[in-house]
Amino acid sequence: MVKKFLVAVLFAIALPLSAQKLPPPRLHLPQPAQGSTSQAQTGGAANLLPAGSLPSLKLQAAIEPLKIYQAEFFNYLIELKWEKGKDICELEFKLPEVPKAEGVKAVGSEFESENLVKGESEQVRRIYGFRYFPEKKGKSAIAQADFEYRCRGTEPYAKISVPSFPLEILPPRFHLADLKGSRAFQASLALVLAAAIFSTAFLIWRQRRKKSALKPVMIEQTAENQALEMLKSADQFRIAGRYPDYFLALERVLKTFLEQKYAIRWSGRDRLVQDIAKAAAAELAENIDRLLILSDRVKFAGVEPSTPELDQAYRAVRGIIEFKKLEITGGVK
Amino acid sequence: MTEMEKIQELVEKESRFVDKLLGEVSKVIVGQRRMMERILVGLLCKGHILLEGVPGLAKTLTIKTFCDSINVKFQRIQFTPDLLPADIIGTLIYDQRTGNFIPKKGPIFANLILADEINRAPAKVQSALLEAMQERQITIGEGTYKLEEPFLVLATQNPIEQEGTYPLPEAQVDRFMLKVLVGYPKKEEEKEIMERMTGTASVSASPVISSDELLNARGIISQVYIDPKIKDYILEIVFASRYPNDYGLKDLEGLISWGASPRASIYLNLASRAHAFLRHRGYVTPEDVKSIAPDVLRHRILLSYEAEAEEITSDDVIKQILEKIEVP
Repeated sequence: MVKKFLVAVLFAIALPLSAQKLPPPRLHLPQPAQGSTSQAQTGGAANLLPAGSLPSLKLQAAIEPLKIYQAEFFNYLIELKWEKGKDICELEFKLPEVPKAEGVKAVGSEFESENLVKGESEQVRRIYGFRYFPEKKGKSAIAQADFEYRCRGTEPYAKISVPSFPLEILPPRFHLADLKGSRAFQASLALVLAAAIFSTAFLIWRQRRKKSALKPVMIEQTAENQALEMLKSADQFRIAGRYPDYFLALERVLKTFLEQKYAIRWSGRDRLVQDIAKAAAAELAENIDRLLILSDRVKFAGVEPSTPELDQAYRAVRGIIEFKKLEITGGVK
Repeated sequence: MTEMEKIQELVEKESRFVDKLLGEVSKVIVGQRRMMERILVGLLCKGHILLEGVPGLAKTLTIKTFCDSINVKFQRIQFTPDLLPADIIGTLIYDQRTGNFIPKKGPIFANLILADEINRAPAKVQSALLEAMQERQITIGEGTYKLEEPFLVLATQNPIEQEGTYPLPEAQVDRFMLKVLVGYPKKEEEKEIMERMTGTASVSASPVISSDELLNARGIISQVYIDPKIKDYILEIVFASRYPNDYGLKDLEGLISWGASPRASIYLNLASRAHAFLRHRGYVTPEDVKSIAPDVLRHRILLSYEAEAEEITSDDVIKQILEKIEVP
């Protein structure tokens, strides 16, 4: 079914473009003639009326693709059409011989038939496809193709022919695949690939080296500056006497800074204090612990902090930021 | 002195027994600090506890040691398929001398009850126990008897055997304030257990507090200050278990069949106060809520078949909720 469809599609595409190249077909009436008349066709197609109950056959031929190159397969498609009716007999065809062509090798043939019903009329369509492989460039021609047919079970056969089909075989096109076999090509391809891999690796390495040289200083400075800025802006809450907000802001400074700097996640006071002790110093961790306890009292117990407590909280946060600053200086050395 | 300072002072004074009690229990029990604290939370909040853990994790010993340390009566009831409600609450027996029926009280008339393997008994026995837990009184014949305070039921469920069990219905599980998972001890702890239990010296706990001290502390729990921000935080957690999509927890959609009930909000509030009390604090912090939330919520969040198929536990769900809900 798929094959049939493909052949039909190919034919539909190829025919309108190449049909004008087709010479007019010749009619060979069966012997004895059954009163059929030939009808001249224009535009490369033919209408034939065999005698008696034989139907009138329409014939069209085309090649696909339109341009034929040496060493590239092409198809020669011939379509036969006729109307079915009460007075028309059932046709049977002799298997046609594959038409030959000089410098072109015939490699296969197939045909498909289909019935097209449109309202009350019914049409039969038979497509023959011949496949060729051009071995030489230059002018050539596909020999006349003969189709013999008759009413099923009767004698003799009528004949309809497609005259010789001229071809222009162009020189072969360049294909990368052709080079695959050549050693020179393989060697140069390997060389190009190796060079590409090497240069990509070199570029990545250089970029990473640049990044790793810059990253620590940039990130450390950013985290520190950001924390100090946040700390500065938190002071507005202290001045306004909004202590729960002030401690919330201090916690945010700490949270942001610790996450950026040490990748410490805020997961409970005890854990946080342990992490700070590990990453920085035990003394700083103790200060932070005191700060967090005070923060909870201020936020959740409505306790108003004393001035020394506020100073202590501020120093605890500032201390951990500045501690890191010293460490960075040491790291740069 | 401000009101808050008064509460803080009161809490500090009244919670002194906590360290004494936990220290005494720790003479016998190695590790299992979390379980011990949760039992105390249950005692302080009048809430019952469902314990879940494989056999041999000192569940019974812990409860018995608590009884010894508080000097209250302990009863262990082993639940079996042939147990009858009368075996727990008691019955009327005929007195030949007087010719009357007199009440014979069952083992539930104690202070700390260990209902061992509660899921082994049929539903009518479970109902009898759970009713007693709720009402805190027992009716035998025509007489109604109040259960003596402190009254706490610790029920255990064996998670590794499912054959021949009668799992507690969700509505009944909801009556337990906490569901505590008892885990294996750490290596060092197990070494200590080995040495204690195989040594010649016998280990036992002595009474260090009276039941009155405990009952007095119960009154303090309701005075522990809980800020409106914390109350909102509790509500956010509970509501997130019901409508996870509204809280940006799209991953949980389809995994939860039923979210936590209003009992969860009540118990989370109470248990957080008790937790703060154990830390000698007169106010609740988000850490108290976070710490106790898994124990309050794990048996109240019912997971879907999809979650079970993906081996997602209610603890995983709670963890995600706690990570997502912003701490005040």
